[in-house]
Amino acid sequence: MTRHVVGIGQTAVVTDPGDTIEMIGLGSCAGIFVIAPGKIAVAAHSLLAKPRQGEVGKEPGKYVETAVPFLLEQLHGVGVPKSRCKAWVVGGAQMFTFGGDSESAGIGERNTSLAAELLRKAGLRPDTSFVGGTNARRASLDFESCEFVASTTGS
Amino acid sequence: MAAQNEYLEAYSEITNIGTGNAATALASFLHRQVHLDPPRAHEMDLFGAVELLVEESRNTSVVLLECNGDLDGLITLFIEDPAPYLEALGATPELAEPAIAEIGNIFAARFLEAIGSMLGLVGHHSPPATAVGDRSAIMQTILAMAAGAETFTLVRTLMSLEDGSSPAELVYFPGESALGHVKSLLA
Repeated sequence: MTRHVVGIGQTAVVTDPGDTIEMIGLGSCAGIFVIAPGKIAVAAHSLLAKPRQGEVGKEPGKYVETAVPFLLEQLHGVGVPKSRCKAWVVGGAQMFTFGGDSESAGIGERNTSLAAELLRKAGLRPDTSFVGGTNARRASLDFESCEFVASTTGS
Repeated sequence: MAAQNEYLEAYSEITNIGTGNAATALASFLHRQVHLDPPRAHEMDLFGAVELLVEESRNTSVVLLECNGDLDGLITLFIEDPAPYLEALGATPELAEPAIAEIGNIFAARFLEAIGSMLGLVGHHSPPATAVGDRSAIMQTILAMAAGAETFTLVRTLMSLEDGSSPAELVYFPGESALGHVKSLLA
């Protein structure tokens, strides 16, 4: 019975019944969860959609573009068809009220859009019910029951 | 490593000039004394920055200013309890956000002006952006905006009013241009 709290830029891979994967204080980051029921559950808490040109991401979880392939690689060969796998994308909130035109206003939206797009391209059907808005969120996935819970926090 | 430490020390000193001037301007605006600790510069990866800056589930008010020009980067001010600041300004709680924004505006303008005139550089800042809520969630956007490379350079200091009330935290993330200018001046 272990709670795997996934911090910013981190990933988690869970195979033990009774374990949960949690993300707390999700703001503009994308929280990406995928489960192959009864076999494996994986998640990433990604800060940005893509690395800057020329940057080599050492940690796959930091960027959505590297996190999604990393998560899918963990599912490879577990013997569960993609049609039975479940996926969720959470977060992508706009935490700041920007006074002028700022490209930064779209950070969260870019994160969650790319995560959903990459998961769809891989043949999954991510639930994107818990994205956007202006509030922080917390989310958890229970390995055994496959139950996924997300809620907003703060003002 | 020694050269790197020397560089971070120099950056702390340079920032100290900026925060000192900014605190004086803020004290004049608030009609209260403002106390600032000496700033300290750090260079670290994402996980180090998260460990240093991200604290779970603390409600906070934040003002953020994007800087450009020679002194590019981000200036952020975290105020846990804005009430004493609002009281000093005679502002009601409904005006908390614009009041905090104005505090950030004054701080950033004087900060950039002081560093710029000392180094012969020019920096401008954007209109302030504000957020109220979970510190960890707000910090994600700031780190995403500051994440230019594998490592973060940041300068951090704590601020309070004369009686030690309303502690606030200033975190400055110099951008590539600002870092490059300072490195070349130190070379």
